Formats: sequence, C-alpha cells, structure tokens
Amino acid sequence: MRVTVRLYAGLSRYGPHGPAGEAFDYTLPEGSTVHELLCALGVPDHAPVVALVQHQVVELDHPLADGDALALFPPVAGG
Amino acid sequence: MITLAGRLRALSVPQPDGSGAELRAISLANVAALARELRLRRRQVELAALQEHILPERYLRSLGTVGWEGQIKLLSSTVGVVGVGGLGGWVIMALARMGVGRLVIIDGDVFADSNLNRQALCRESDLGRPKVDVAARWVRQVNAAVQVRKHYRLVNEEDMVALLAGSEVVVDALDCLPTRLALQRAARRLQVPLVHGAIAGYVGQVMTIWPADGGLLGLYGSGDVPEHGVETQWGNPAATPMMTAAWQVQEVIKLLIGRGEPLRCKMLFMDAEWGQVDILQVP
Repeated sequence: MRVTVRLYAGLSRYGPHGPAGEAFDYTLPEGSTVHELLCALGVPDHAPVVALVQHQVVELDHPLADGDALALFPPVAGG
Repeated sequence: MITLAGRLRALSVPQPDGSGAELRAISLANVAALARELRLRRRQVELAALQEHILPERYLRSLGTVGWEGQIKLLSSTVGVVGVGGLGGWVIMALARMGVGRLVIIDGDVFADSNLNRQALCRESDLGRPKVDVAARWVRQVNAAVQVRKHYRLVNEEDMVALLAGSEVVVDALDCLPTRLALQRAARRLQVPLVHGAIAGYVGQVMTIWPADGGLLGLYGSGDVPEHGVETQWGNPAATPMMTAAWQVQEVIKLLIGRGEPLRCKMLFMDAEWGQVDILQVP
C-alpha cells in the first residue's frame, strides 16, 4: 500500500528529500502501523511523535490504509 | 478652565509622519508632565491625545502599521500573558512597546541560572527574584503608560479563569504541556482567543486558537500528556524564543486591531536549522 507522508519541524530530516519538507509517497506492507512507518523512515524509536492521519490525531499503533495522508511532527512544548 | 484637550494641543508640535504628510505629536516628556500635573495615568493622557488626533511621539513608527484607531484600540486593550520565561519575556516587552494598555502577567517562578541563556528579562542581578516582579519593572521602565497586573503563583485552570477575566487575548508562553492544555480550557471558558507558542532547539511553533477550535486539546488529547516535548533533548537556545515570541506578538496585535489573517487552525512551524517554514492544518 502507498501512503502520503509529510514530516514537520525537526522530523523532516528523516524524509527522502532530506530537510526540504515536501510531502512524499511511501510504500509499506499492508496493515503497517504509524510506528512501523516511523521505524522504516529511521526515526529513532525513543523520539516522541504526534501523528495525524487524514487530519485526525491517532496513536502510533494505528493501522494505516492505502491512500492515507499522514502528517508527523514532534511535540514541542518549551518556552 | 483649560481642558486636557487644550493642554494637549498646546504641547503638541508638527511632525513629519514619514509619508511626506504632517501630523501633530506630543513628546514623552510632555505626556509625563501632563499626567503628573493633572494626576492622571499616562495611559489616560495618551488616549486623550490620540482622540484629539495628537500622536504620542513614542508610537510614531507604529502608526503606519496600526493606524490611529489601532493605537487607540491597543491602549484600550487587556492582554493576558501566562509564563514569563523565554517566550513571555519577549512577548511582554513587545506588547509594552506597542502600547497595549493593560497586561496581566502570571508566573510562579523566580529567575534561575538556566534562564540566562535566553530569557530577555533575566539579568545576573535578577537571579532568585520573581519573574513577574522583574517583568513589571521592565514594563514601567519601557512604557509607563502600560498598566501591569502581576500574579506570582503557579496556576491551575480555575486560577487562570479568575485571573485572566477581562483579557481580550491570552498568550500561551508556558513551558509545560499539561498547563498549556489547562490554559486552553481556561481561554475556552473565557471565550477569548489564545495565541500559542512553543520552542525546542531551532524549532518554534505558533498557532492561534479560538474557543471553538480543537487546538492543543485536539492535538494532544485531554487524557494524560507528558510534561515536556522534544525540548528536553533539543534544548532552548537564545534565538528560538525571540523568533517564536515575535510571531505570537504579531498575532496578538492583529487580533486586537482586527487586521490580517490569524493563524487559526494552522500550526506555523519554523525550523531555523534547515531554513524551513511550514504550516500544518490542525483539526
């Protein structure tokens, strides 16, 4: 299945275009989760991530479907 | 009897407005002297001047941006700033310079060594002093027309609802996620917009949240959330709060004077490390 991924803020470095930050298509085995996508992209396992799928917040164990659009970004809370 | 308007007119002088036209302006020294003489607040004298189309000269360079009505609106406004750290310090300073008439500032901390790398109001001699006390002094020194109501305390949602009542806009300049969520709930109850800002490393984010919006509650949920985000790993350097607070201030000014398009349901991410600026549509 193919999903469309957009990485924001400090996560964009893990995209295939480097830090350019554009959306990209990514092919994954059927039934893969957000967490498995993050692992495939090389995002460190301990890195905190907020995931939106089809504009809705999901847990990282959320199973993806063909055609899903994901937005991924780190929780930023400092002041 | 000599009226305030008459005294203002007598003390005002012609001044080029920068666009080739001329306006009448009154100096800070004359505003201050008049306020003392008539036992009025500086803010009252500045407002009376603006009503007479006499510009307190200190706002000359803001005029092209906010206009006469905008400056009157700013001086008549109340803004709440929760958190007087890296973001809040810059926000408070800029709002004071713009002449936002009343600031409600809330922070339960004192300045510590680890604040010196980035917090605009923190000097070595301020270590150990409540941040709100130092901020109030700075505001007095920068723009004595601005009235500050300061609250030196750690706050929960109920406290924030009580202390921020009367604010037209609230600024989220906090440093911890659960308190930010509590602030969004408080702003929702007060039915006022909330200008959120947060930083980590080279990354800053800004979003303006209306009472009806999901905002941070939509992103992080209302269940258990971690205290902190990636800033614990990426740090909080000097320039990131400046960059982020600057955008928060622009949002506040726009909201108060009704100009432009706020970042509503849009999270602005600024990644200074890679020169990348993005907007994420937030549900």
